[in-house]
Amino acid sequence: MVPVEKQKNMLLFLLLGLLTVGLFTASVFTGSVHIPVSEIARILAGGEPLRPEWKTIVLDLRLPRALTALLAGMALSVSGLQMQTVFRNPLAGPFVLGITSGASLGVALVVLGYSWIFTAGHSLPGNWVLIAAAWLGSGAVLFVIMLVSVRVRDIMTILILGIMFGSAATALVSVMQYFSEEAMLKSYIIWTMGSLGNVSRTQMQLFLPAIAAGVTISLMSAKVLNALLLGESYARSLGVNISVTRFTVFISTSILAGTVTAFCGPIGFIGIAVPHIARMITKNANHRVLIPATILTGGVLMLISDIISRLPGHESNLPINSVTALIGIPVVIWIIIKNQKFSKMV
Amino acid sequence: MSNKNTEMLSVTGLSIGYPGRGKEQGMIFSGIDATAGKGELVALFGRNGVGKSTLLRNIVNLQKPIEGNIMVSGKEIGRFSPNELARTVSFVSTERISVNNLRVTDMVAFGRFPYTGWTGKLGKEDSAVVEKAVQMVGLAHLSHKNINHISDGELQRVMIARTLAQDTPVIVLDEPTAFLDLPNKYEIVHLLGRMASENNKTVLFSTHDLGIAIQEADKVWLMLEEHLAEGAPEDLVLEKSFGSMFSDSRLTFNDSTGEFRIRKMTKKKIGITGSGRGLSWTKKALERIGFEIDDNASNLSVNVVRENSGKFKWELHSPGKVKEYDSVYRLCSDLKTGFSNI
Amino acid sequence: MKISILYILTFLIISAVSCSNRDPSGRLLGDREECGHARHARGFCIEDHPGYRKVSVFNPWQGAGNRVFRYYLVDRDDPVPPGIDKNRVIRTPVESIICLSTTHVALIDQLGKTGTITAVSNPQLINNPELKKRYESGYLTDIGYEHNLDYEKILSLHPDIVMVYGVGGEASGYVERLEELGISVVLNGEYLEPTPLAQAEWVKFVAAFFGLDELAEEKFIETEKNYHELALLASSVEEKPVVMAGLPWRNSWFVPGGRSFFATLVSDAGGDYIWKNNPSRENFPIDMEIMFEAGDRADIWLNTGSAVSTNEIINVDNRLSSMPPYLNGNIYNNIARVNRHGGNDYWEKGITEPHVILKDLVHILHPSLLPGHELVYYKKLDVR
Repeated sequence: MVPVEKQKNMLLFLLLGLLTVGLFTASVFTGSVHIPVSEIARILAGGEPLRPEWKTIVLDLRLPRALTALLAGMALSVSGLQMQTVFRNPLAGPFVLGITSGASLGVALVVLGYSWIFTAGHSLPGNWVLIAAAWLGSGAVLFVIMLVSVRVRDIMTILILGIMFGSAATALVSVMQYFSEEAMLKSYIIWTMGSLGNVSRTQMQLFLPAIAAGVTISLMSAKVLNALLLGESYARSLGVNISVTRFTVFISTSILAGTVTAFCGPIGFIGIAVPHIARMITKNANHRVLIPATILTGGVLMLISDIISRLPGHESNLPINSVTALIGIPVVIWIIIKNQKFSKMV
Repeated sequence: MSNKNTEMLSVTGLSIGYPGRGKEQGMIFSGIDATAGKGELVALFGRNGVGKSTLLRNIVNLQKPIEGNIMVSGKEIGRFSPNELARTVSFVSTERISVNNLRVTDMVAFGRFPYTGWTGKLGKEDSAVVEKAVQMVGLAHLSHKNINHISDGELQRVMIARTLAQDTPVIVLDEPTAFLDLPNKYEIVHLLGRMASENNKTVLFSTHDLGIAIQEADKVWLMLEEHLAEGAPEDLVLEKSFGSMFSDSRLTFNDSTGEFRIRKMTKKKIGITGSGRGLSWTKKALERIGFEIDDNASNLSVNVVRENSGKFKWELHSPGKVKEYDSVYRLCSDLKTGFSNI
Repeated sequence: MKISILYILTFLIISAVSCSNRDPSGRLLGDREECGHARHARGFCIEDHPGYRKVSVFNPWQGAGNRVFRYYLVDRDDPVPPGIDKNRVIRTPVESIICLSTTHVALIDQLGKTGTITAVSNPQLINNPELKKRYESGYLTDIGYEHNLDYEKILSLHPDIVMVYGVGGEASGYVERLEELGISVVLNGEYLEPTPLAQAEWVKFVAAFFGLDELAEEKFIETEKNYHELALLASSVEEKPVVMAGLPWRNSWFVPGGRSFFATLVSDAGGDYIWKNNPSRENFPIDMEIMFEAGDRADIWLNTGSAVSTNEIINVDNRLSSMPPYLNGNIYNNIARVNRHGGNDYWEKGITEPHVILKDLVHILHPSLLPGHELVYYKKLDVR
């Protein structure tokens, strides 16, 4: 790498880092209850605020929420990048393997009135049922994909099968929806709209390490991901072990996408749009640059989406999923129009 | 066969085909025996669909042979670890790679993959090797260009530079000259030849450009109907192997010129006299328009005359008539239109 | 192999769906001995212990399996007795409460404690005049809904309890979340009770948190008495009009099950509900063809959902005009008390006065029994 370029990248990462910190702070300092800035600063510094509930609001609501947004954005974006590289397809995202559909199936079973399937015999505490169900669902899909991937060499076949499994899971959810009460249906639909505010501090103790693990695996795969840009034949001729690589990438993608879906619901478009933004701003195909850029951009975009979804100054808020879509879609359209050759984007 | 152990690459009793089980398995070619030595440029010929690509994919271990052996440096190809193999054999396929934001140096740097650590970061030495490879293929001035913005010929050179950076004793290329214009075809093959001789590599490539390859290749692997013939291009000419490659078609191989020509329906015989360049090129033209050269042809003959000014002129002798022409073109068009009345 | 796995998965899930549908009575409410204070309701139990009262809620959402939630009510001035789960202790009487359901509002209002409600979910849907006024003048907080609760506002209101309903179960997450923030959450499962009286009896459950048991008992005995009198009156009639219900959507018709709240009301009002033999407590979908066949003998058509005029029924599907109740003009919907945001008092105050709803139905089914009765919750569809 040329020194000039290295400097340029450093500058870019510095900017993205500052943006992340800024947005994170903005997220902690805004909310539906007005708390004076000085009080928030006091709370963050470990002091006691004027009103005790402010401490709970800042430490138990706003911080976990901002952290959830940051981590979810990072996780979805980096898994989207991995899928786009592995499948050499610009429209791939974290959900092409059917992982989210699997998670949705698990959640639908719980929310649409079959939670006894998961709780029978023992009682899991509270919303862990939902998370466990989502994980089991995405894990099941991953398992099937892995079985197939051992026998099928062509990566495109796996892509198609992933989409098929996803559709099958969605169809099963529809069957359940059909037989469901209106109120439950509403509950499920609301789940599908996504939410960043439901991850508590206790859950963060699982959410954070899971995302960290997924991202670490991804960062460590930068080299092989680079080779996969040339396609699997070339990658093999460069000494890449394709089965091991697929295995690692699929595992980290499902840890990332599955965990985010389990804790926050299916959040769309971030995973597809952010890698393209990262490519555009870095002008680089190297995953050693692209992965960190994608991670930071994903965090930034999700924090922005979260702040918008809370409609500062308003009573109500918007579902996070519609905000990410409304932000993500124009980005994708803009990139298509600007680049024309969308098929050569990856 | 006696010097098999000293060969860089040797193939014995190889059968290739589609992978699969039972009925799915399709044998394409069997009984392949061939070798390639150090510093040799080897051209692989064969008709479309005969299995050239499959043979090459077997040699680079992207596909498993049905039976037989492929040895590189005296070691069975299947016994190499992925990384070891990547340091021994490099490959350029026919796929046109298109990756956004990838520059020429980045693409060449992929060649260092087997040598870098888990981060893939290039060391000083690696960068030097990459730079040298880019220079060798003559693309130093384009090294920062996006690979999507360079010509096909340039991209092919980038892919070749990548194999140089990979620094493998064996380099395998599948139709590196396809889709290129004539000068590029020559230059690419010439470059491959230089790589073989200057860097002492074994370069194996498949191609359809026989003329170019005969001029440059040290050895030819010729996939015929039933077997693979190998040898210096001249050996194969003398053995009439090229001729048999297309024996079922109207193509004939001219042993003395080293050219293929479509066999045409000859309608009339014609005699020709004269000497030197004028004579041989006029013969070619007459054959092209469908005459058979026969010195005994009595009623029609051409005499090529070189005038003192150095210009040529042609005299067409037909019974009771002599006509003069100042170009081969005029002569031919008259002969063509005059077929009915001559 | 991959295909067979998919098949097995499909099979498992479909069978899970269908078998739980065929087993409607089983998993909703636990089988238990009748419990002190409740005569009809099966979803809660109040037990008196020295120094505290134990309030249990059984399986407060559909498909909950066998879950019991216990709350320990201890008087504000008394010490918390040892040996009870401190996290589930609620100091009584509660002075500030947040409700997630309009039915909770009605139950609290019946006890005259509307003033303790500080925030609700979707306040615009509320019909209660006092709360409506407070909302309009900005003294009632909107705290969002289910997955989208505004925890910041909830925290700053310092509620003694947040009363929630269990759709989707604790699975939907907010119960745990609230408890983690140190807020006492009370699950209310009244909406799962299959009979109108059982639902109304939950006033006793709510009263326990205010220490108003006697008032609740009084109110409920009155309701019960009125209800039984009407039911007795209706049962005297031999001829039972045939009742159909619901509105189709596309090619399916979701109708209340034969053991649902609605079916009980129709039966108590002296009606013959078409699907009375269906074993389900919930709504279930039936095919249009079957509905047309069955509906042919219907006299009266109730609860037409979103359709508020005969014209709207035709708009849904003009073949519905061949239904006998349509031809006779005997279509009634429970939409007489809907506010302009669509909040229906039938699902609010209606739960506390099932006898009024029953009176409407008796009047509709047997006009001669209650001459001069004016419909309260029901309305005859306008011919438009």
